[in-house]
Amino acid sequence: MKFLTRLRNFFSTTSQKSKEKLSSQIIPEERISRYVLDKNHYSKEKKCLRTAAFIPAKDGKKSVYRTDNCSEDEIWDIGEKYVAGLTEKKIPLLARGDLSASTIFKEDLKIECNGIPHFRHANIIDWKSGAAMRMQAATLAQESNLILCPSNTSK
Amino acid sequence: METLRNSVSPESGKLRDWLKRIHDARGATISAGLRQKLKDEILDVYSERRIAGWDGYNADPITNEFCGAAIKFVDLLPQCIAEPDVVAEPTGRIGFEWVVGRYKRLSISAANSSIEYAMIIGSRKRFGEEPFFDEIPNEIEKLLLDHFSKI
Repeated sequence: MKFLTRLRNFFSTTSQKSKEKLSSQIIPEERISRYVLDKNHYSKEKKCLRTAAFIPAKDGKKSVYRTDNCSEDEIWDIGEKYVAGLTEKKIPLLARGDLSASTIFKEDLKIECNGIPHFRHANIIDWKSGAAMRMQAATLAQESNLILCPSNTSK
Repeated sequence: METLRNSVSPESGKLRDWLKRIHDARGATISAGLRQKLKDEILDVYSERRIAGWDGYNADPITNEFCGAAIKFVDLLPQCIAEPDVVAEPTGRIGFEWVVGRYKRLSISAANSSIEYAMIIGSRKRFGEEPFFDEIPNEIEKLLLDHFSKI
């Protein structure tokens, strides 16, 4: 029990520290992560995210997290608790795509930090429409690094 | 065609080969086996994603309209095209994607009367929307044959 308490305190302190470090201004080098819960949105064989993983729904927002200065465990923990954990059917977290904020800015997109449901949460906004939007999404997918979720490596 | 056959420059040779491929591919669609496989995948994507939020976020359900358009697109895919991946899109559309290595990608999605596409080849990018009725638009067919052919 002592160990668990110490572990909890450690993560709580780490999380607080990283909150302090998170600026309201997103710098181009900052890492942005998109969590993937649909097996159809990435290819394990081709080691890539599909364009569909970045196509926004009709509300014109793509939900992402600012994951700079987070450890791998922290990144997956955010995905498990604040993305997969909040789905009605408890859909498992399968993977994530990491890319730099500069890739997003180069496509004339903006990143809007809203801090809900987690202080690291943001939305990619200002998407174009039709084929131009498809091109933006394809570029983000192309520039992303696919990382499979360690707890779902068989999928 | 006669003028091109007799010409000798590398450019005209390339053009002649491309016209021949178009000519050979016209009317000949992908094999029945591949066509059926892609249709099965379309139906799987459709049946598994008919409820909003299927992606864990706020995706729209895949609709009958886009399912029908995707099947029509598969019926018209020219012979010798590499097999695409069938992909569900958060807008309720069904897309087709070809990815070759890290720098070559084509994403296409058909609707009732139009097709959207976006292609990346290295630093070159092309995108657009073409009308879609009884055949795959020339622009898109050329992209497929030039960059995503099995031959």
